[in-house]
Amino acid sequence: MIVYLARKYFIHSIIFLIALTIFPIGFFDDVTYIISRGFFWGGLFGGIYTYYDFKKRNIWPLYDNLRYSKALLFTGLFMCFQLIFFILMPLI
Amino acid sequence: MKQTTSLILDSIFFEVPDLKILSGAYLQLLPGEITAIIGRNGAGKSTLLKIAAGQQSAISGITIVDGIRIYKKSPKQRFKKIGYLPQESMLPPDITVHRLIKSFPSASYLFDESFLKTHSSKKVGELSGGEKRLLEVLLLLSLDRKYILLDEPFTGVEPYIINQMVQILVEEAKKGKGILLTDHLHRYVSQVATKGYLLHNQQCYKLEGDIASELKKMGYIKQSKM
Repeated sequence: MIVYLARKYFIHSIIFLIALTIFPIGFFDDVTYIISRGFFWGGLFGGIYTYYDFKKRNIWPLYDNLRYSKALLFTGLFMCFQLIFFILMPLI
Repeated sequence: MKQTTSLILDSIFFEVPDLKILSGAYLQLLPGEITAIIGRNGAGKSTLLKIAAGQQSAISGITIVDGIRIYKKSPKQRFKKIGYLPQESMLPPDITVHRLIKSFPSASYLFDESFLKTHSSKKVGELSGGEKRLLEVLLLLSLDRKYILLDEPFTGVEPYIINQMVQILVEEAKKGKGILLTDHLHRYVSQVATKGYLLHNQQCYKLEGDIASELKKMGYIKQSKM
């Protein structure tokens, strides 16, 4: 179930990342700054969106039954998402 | 004698704007027993179970799990001993049955279940409502929990699957699990439950003895014509 949550979180975060990156790049801003900002806010909005999506679809009781901490899961996923930026940074 | 090994909901108050739902409801669930909560639509059965499982906060009242008093929602603490089946399905539709069973720590024995053998490669969304409900109940019962709360497990399920569920619940109760279930279908519930509560006027009334005849006496169900 952690993999399922991670998959959903990364899909949502990448969509937010793209939305938050493409638009400012059009204004010829500093690319590294825009991408780093995109990863931070994309990860954050992705987390909030995933949380409410799971709430709407009534999936959280399943995670409660498995005794997974939502706060811990989201913190871990957010950190992983930021790590991707640091791995990709030399390429940017 | 005060029993410490039980799940107690004591003095539960809950209301939404302009409507009182629970006013000091009390309920006790003992391990090894199947307890039913019966009540009309909107009586507060699901709310009571949500409060017990920490899915919703009560205005006031406490949950006592094996002597430990819990005042806040604290689902992590509650789920040490409680398993909870919500009224609506909690299974994501885009995951395979095989993957779902594997994510439950001690549910691998379910692969031997005849119904799951044939459906393991299917996605949850491809199962019928009744099959999904049975799968949820089986997964919950595979967890090492003392108290299992089932919110309308029989709703929308065909009689064949209900009978299968009833057998499983009786077996699990014999093993020492305390099972609390709610339903409108008192016919099935009164068959399987050893103890019952009628949720009426925001209170839980204990039904002593045979549940069906108690419900008839209280006017909840019609007396059968001779």
